[in-house]
Amino acid sequence: MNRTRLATTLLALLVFSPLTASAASIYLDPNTGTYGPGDTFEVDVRLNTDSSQCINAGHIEIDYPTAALRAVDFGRGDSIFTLWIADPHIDADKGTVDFSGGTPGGYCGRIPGDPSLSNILGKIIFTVMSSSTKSATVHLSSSSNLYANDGLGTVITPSMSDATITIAPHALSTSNPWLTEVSKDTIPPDPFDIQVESTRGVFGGRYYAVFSTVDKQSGLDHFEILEDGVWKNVVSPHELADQSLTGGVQIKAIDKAGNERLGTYVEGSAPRRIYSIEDFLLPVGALIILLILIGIYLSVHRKRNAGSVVDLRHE
Amino acid sequence: MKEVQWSRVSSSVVLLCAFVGLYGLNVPHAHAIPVSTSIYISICGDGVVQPDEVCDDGTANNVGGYGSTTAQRHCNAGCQSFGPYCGDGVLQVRFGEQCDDGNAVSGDLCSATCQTETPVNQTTTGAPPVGSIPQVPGATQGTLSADTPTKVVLRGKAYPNALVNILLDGKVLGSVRSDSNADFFYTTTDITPGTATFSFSAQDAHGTNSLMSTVVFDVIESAVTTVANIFLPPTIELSSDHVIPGDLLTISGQSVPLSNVYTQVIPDATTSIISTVDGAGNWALQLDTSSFANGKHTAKGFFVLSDTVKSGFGQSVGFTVGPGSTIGGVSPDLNGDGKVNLVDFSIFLISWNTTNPRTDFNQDGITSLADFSIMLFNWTG
Repeated sequence: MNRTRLATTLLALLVFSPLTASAASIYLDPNTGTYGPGDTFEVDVRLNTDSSQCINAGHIEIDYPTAALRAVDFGRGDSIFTLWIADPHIDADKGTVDFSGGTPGGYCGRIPGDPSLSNILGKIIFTVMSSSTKSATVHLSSSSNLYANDGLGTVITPSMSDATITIAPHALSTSNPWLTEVSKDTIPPDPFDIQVESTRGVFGGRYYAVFSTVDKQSGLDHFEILEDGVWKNVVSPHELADQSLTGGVQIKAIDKAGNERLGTYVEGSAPRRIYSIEDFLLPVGALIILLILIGIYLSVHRKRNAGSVVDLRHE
Repeated sequence: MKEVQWSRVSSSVVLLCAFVGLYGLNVPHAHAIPVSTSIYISICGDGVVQPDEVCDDGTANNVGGYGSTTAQRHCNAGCQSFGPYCGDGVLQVRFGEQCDDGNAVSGDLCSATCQTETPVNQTTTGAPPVGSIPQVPGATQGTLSADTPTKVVLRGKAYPNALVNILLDGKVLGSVRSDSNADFFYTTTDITPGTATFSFSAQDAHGTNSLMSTVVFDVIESAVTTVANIFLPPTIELSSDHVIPGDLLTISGQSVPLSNVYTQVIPDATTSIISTVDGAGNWALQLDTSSFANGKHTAKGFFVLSDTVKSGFGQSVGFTVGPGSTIGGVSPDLNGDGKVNLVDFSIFLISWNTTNPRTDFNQDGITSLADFSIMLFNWTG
């Protein structure tokens, strides 16, 4: 009887146990280090996987103790992500860093012969704030997720490993390796095209600009557009202020070192503008109001004229 | 009593060990067939002579200058040949050669440094030796300076005479047509050093697009990086996406001529169905669905030409057996131009984290990373 129950239980476990193990893992590199107050160091967020589990998107969240560390910058120059949902976000008060991005076609692991690992998702630059604690853990949150390149949006839960930083009582370095790396970057972001589009249901059919590029050195910092004679920060897609397009479209990409690359816009390449009902609402509405006003005026004018005739007859 | 308690304890321990053991095992799915690819990278400029190289003198050293002896010959940029040298069988007067008999041996009337040798017992008459020509003024010897551009060479297989589209970091870089054997070759110097993502896709003769294949690697400055064995998986299409049990379903596509295509049908088959690709690159199989359960099924395949020439799995296509709607979904081609690219991504971003059904590709009620992943899978550039 006991043997029967045992066999049944084991069989049940075999059938119902979740036996999946992910080939993908995220880790921090370096995973150890010793730094003192004021020192700046870099931690790469890296992805390991193989061709059995290609990954094409991910959301990564990292937290760290704010008493000991402060995330001061994020570098995406070496990232295998080529498209970003938004700029990487650092919350210095909460001690978190999060970013979401992806790569078309997916990443399937390191190619034999590659001189590098080529598996960086992003680079976080930390500064040690104080030596009040002897160690600090940079932690990959369980909220981090990867997505399989399977066309189904399958979530992959990777294995993750953190980094442990030993805090020395005093600063150990007089140099800032991140600043050194950024200052060496003299190459502007990669060339890119500026596409002007008009799509039904997007910005009411009005013209908008689409643009994207990468910077393989210090990493892309931001884009700017020239509108109303002023360069101002912009993200893609951007509804153009000048819908006539007569002044062209000027957008530049700027990397962390301040190198700039002006995008290429081909005059006349924009499609025909798609007009929506909103485009006609104002002029049609204004016309209707004008007609109503004219109608009211004429009506009042006629009544006045009619009243004057009656008075004359009575005299 | 003690005996009963021990029995319960031992049973619990066994169960616990089984539970822990099962979680520790990496048990493959019953239907999974491991597939590996043989892509490799060789770098002209790393000082290592790779299988597809003739020579490699290291970074910035592949300048192909003149070598005064065979041992001192220099590799050309591209690592496919040597620069001129004494011993190559070509008389190079501008480098001071008086002769070149194609070897590095002295005592055969042409020395190892390509100078004519007086035969033994022959008296010189004052006439110039055969082949003796004064050195051309201004001729240079030694290393030629050259700026070696950063270059990437891509080689692989698609389908016969197919147009292979190549993306760099998600944007269109160029295209190249494969030959009748499905081989393609592409080079570019339009690249900055650093981590690069190259993606490949092709359309077969029937208009079916392949799954995009991507390679990520580090491009070295002033070196020629060759990526070989880029093998696009077979294209695949169905004669119908909705069948009645017992119908014959034709699955077909294109791949490398004379290879075998291994098709997996999920969740029905635990082994692959093998089809041979003909000389024109076509393959097909007929599936008897009489034993198929009602519901949704998918099929995907890979090709094998040899142990070293094989692809990963290609596009997965779905079909329904029995009652039920055909497999459908929301297309990531949001502007309807036939492509999934940056414009669609920009439109997608506007609806990020909303309930817009137009961008909710997996129809789970929210536009999120899962939908982003589906868009990236379908990316065409």
